[in-house]
Amino acid sequence: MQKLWGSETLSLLPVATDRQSAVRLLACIDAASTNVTNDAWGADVVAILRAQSRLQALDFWMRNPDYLANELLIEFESTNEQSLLDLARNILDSREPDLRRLPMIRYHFGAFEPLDNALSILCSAGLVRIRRQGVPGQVREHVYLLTAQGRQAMTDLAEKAVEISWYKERATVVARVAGDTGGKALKDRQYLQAEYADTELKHIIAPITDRVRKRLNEIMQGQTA
Amino acid sequence: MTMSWLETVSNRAGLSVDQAEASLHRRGISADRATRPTPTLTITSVKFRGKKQGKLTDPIDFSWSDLSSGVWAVTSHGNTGKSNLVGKSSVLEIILWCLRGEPKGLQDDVRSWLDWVRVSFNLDERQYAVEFDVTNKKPNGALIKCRPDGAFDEVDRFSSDEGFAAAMSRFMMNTFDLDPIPSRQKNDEGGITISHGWTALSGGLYFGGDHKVLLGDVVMGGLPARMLQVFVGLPWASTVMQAATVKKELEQQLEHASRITAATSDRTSLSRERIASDLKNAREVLKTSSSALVTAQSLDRLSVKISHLSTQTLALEQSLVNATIEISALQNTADADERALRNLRENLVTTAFFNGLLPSCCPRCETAVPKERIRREGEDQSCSLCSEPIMLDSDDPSDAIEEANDRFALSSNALTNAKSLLKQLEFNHKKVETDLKSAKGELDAATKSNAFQQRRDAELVVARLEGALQEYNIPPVGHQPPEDIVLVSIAHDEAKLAFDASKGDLLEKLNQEILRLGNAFGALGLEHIQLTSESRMSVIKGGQKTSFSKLTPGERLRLRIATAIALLRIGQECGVGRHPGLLIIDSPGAEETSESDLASLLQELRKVADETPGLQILVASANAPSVISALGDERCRVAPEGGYVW
Repeated sequence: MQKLWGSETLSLLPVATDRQSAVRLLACIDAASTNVTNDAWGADVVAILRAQSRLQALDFWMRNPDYLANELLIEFESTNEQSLLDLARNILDSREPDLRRLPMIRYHFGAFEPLDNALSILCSAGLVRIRRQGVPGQVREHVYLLTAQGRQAMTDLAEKAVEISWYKERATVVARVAGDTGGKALKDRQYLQAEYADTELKHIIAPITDRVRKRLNEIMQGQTA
Repeated sequence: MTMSWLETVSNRAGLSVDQAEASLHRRGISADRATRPTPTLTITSVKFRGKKQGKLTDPIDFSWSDLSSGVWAVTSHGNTGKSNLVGKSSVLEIILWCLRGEPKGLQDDVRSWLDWVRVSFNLDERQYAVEFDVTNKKPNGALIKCRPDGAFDEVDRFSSDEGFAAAMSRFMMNTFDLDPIPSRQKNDEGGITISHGWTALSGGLYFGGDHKVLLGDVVMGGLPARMLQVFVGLPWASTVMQAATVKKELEQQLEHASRITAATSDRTSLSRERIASDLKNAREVLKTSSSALVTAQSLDRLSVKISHLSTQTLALEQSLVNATIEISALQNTADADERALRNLRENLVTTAFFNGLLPSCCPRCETAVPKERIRREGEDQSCSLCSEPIMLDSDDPSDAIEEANDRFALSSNALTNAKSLLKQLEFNHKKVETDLKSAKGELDAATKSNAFQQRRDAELVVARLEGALQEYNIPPVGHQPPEDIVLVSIAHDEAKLAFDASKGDLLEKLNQEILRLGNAFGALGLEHIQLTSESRMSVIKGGQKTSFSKLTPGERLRLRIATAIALLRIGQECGVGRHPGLLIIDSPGAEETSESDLASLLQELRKVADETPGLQILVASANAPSVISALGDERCRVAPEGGYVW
């Protein structure tokens, strides 16, 4: 189904509230962060996620289920792990690319959207703390610290509604897809997808749903054959 | 036989007497007439005037009168070889000219010299004369009947050769009760029937030339036989002649027509065979093309069907496009409703969750929120971080969720309906498309196979051939045998029966008389004469059978004269003869080997003439001594030695 993704339709595009984004980022940090075993970052800090670019790359897959499904298929082709294929198929069959997409605008350095408002909600509630490394004015890296309260909040939220638990589960998948790879490398991977790379600057990144659906079908036909 | 000839004929032909008589009359066939006595012809005088031209220019004034029956002669002393061509024959020729109405052998120069001619003759006791002026060889005068008192009645007038001939023919044929002699010339369909009239019959009076023919001087058309029959007056001879000629004419026409009809029939038969064969083939073609069962009706039906299906297909395609667009719109709406419902639930949960958390620090500087601000937030509902008033939702959030839920249910239901409608449309479209494709295929096949046109053509060919064959089954018209051919044939047969029944006796008597006279005239040694009704004469002489044409000229002359006189004598004896009783004999001496033969012939002729009432014989001879010795001076007109008769 063809859709216009021109800038004139921007205002009609699905947009998440800051609180929804806060939950989405919390899920990413919770799932993709590395556990902290000492008190070096504070007594209540339980895990750490490095770099804004990595967080944004994770968020890209959260907001674009078709790109995620594509990554799952790529990984299936190398690992032949059936659960990856099943998951990709579920994503497409449940029409997540249509229902869960939160379009992003492409900037020079990739998919980007200021995350400050959402992160402020997490910070003011003491769920996440942000540390900036490097001298002031020349920030080299953001470090996202997950507090024990933050981890507990994610668990609590997931239990309140299935819609929220989706964020937690999806973030686990995204984290697995991302692995230990850094933000720069993840963006390069995302750039490999033609639609993303061909998307003009300041334009919405186009979906690749049809292509992925085709790829899935081919794989599944190959399996049944 | 109690029935008359006409009754018998009509009875046999299955016609009424009136019908038969009318048909036969149309064909010129009449029953034999009761024989009417005919007069004898006797020349009484010959006169002519004129003027010779050329070497001699003497005036001509010839008169030979007071002639009567018996033998008369114009003669000259011609033995010296210089007395011929002195006008003897011309005297006889002028007589013939007057009796016939046209010259027979009159020399052209003699005719041109003449100014006036008169020949008087008696028919029995009645006196007649032919008198005319001659201008530039053309006659201008009259046939007159002379009264005893010297006055005369004009019987006929003439001022041309043709008029003169017609007048004399009319008069003589009537006088001697003679029928014209019809005969066919050329034995084929192009033949014509010609009538020999007086000119031909008068040949029976003249004996000259080389005597090739027994009677007359015309060989063709079986004329001598007919002349014999006419002159001897054989009963039914005329009727047989008439019927035979008509019968021959009809048979020739019929034969000709039959040949044409046969030829046409052959061609017709061939054509009919060919057409019948063509028709058989055409019917085979029609039969095979019929089995295709392609008709104009079926073509029309297919066209209508295709048109109908095309319209349906177009309508369905349009419906499909519309449904697809609608589904797309409904999908968007349903998706939006689903997202809205989820967002609502998510925001409800997250808002309640985050609102339930007390802010611990400033998100900007991470300074802990003072206890005083937290207390104030509880008291005057102002934010402990930014002091803005906190708006509590007065509406029950469950209402909003229910509404969003309803919206989503409606839109997704509409989408489901639209999808099932699309499915139905697609099914219908596929079906109609299949139908259309098969109908197009059918029409294409029907058109390509051309079976309809072939059938039409085959039908036309069969119809045309049937018509043609019908035409040939109609029997050819025309060339029908003349309806009266049977009647004519019967008339001929019956007349022939009557003729044969009566002729035998007459012919036998004739044979005896000819034999007697022939021998008397000096044709010695004839033992038997057989004259047939066809005028063929066979002769037995010296024990050998021979024919007339093989005799010597002298013998032929004697038999000719004998035959003519026998006709006259037997006719008179039996009351049937029609011979005028005049014999004109030119130069009988030419055939003689001795003068005594001629003298004895003439003596015998004189003797016969004495025995035969009304017989007159005019002779021209260059042998004056013999003629004079036989006939006597008073019966001869003699040219002086070295001079002319006139």
